[in-house]
Amino acid sequence: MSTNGINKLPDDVLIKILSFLTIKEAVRTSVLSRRWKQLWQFFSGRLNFSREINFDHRLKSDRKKLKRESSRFVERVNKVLNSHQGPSINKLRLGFYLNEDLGSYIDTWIDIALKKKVKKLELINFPFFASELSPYSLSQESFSCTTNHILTSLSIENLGVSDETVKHILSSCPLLKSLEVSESPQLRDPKVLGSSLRLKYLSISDCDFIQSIEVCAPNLVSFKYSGREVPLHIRHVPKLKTLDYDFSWENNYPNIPLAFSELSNCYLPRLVTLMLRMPFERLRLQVDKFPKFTSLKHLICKLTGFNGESLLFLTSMMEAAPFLRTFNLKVDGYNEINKICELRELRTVEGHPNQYLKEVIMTGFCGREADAEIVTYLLKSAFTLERIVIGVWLAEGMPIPEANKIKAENLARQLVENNRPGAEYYFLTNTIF
Amino acid sequence: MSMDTVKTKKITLRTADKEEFEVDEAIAMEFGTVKSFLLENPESEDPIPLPNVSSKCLSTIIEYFTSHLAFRGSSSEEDEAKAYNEQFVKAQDNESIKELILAANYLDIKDMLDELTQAAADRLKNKSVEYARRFFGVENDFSPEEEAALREEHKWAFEGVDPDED
Repeated sequence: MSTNGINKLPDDVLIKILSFLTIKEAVRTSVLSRRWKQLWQFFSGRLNFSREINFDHRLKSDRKKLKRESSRFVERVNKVLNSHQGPSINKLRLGFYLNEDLGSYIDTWIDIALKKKVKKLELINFPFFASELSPYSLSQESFSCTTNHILTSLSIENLGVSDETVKHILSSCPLLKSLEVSESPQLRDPKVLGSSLRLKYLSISDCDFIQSIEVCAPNLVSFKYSGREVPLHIRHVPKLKTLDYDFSWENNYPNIPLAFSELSNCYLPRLVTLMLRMPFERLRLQVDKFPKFTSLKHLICKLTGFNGESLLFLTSMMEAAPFLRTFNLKVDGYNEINKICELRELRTVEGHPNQYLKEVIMTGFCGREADAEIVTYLLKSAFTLERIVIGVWLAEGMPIPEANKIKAENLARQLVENNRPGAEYYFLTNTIF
Repeated sequence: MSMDTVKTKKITLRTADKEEFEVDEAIAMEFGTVKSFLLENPESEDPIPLPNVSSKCLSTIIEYFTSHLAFRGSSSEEDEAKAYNEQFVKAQDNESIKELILAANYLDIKDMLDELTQAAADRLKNKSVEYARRFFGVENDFSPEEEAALREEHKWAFEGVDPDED
């Protein structure tokens, strides 16, 4: 027999349960019974309207298909947002072909969400390859909600965002803790400034025409930048703990100081986690200029375009980070490996003691002398090492022939057994890591 | 004050089926309704009646809190609590989850109610309308025409095809 018990639950508890479902599932409850018909309109959870479509870009009929799908998308989002009666929504995510035609809808939806006390807003424009459609450009009008809203997290991908719009967003969203902007061609010289900025996480990535960034954010804990190497004026970031720089784009001047050297010497030593991705030559030429990273616990170095010569320049980094706990070295080489190094051929490598390093991960190990050298160095330095993980391949997505792979694995095994016999080790199987 | 360990105050709770439970004050104060009662009647020695909670439910809830209070202050408190909650929820069948939700709602235990309502939602994920009706013990009081009209109105929600979800 059905328990009538749960029907004694007040509406607000039922709504609580509903709000953990997806909006589609919540709307389906409208047919449960008369009592349930409109409960979904008080949904307070995460609204996710995300629809990717398989287009065949060679077909002209795809433009018509896009128009049809856009209408359906608009109808659906409008239906839900306009029927919504509850006081709040946790998150709104719009993932679609958000081109200029949908501009006024997008602005309206943002406005409704802000009025509903939304905490997280994610706007993602999927690329559609018909040249006449540009991504919608957000503007001050998009964030003109005057009621006190509580937006804490904003993520914008592949939509137009100008420097002015960023400035406006920061001043009209006083509770904003996290801002991510990616693939916005309008961004040139964004300035993230403000003595009362609550911003803790900032990420700017893949903006083709960016020329510089200025950051002055007293609460910033994590900063991520990916794209062309441009001047990064990072001032006053006393709480910064995590830095993620991805300069894998072409740089014609490998010898100029790395952009983050501008981060004054008082901030780099406070970093706890550092992620660097750049051509190996670039890092090699700059590594001696780093200050001591006295708080660094986690280091991830992704080096692209490795020619197989030597990785020992990394020892400077290791010496500069005496308290390091984990080191993840990802090497993308391009030269085919013909010969796996033999142990007896290895030059003597001395380690610089590091008593905190517990875990080392190296991917792109393919048995070159350079690989064996750096691994030996790490094993000798980390005298309390617990675990080493090795990915045997040439580069991400580029495996090496099976025979070489086996030899390289054996070499790695011998290195561990000779230099750090107590440590656990294992090999990764997937080349995407 | 003597140097002996202070005896923890015990509170007596009486359930719907007239069973009495003696619990540490620390646990009793986790229940919003009990806390309010105690704040208004600090001197009361009588058992506090909980007419909407069965003894089975109450003993489960007490067990939940006894475990949680044991984690408090430990360095891996968060992980331990999370692991415990997962196991706890897994061990309850649908009927128990519903009963516990009713009890947690009546007793005004916010965190536990959040855990339980999330657990109920997890059990409903990807399930049919019929399953949801049975779970909630709901009688369908729509006529077939009314239901059909509603399904048509929210057609997009009933299409299983697109990977809309988060």
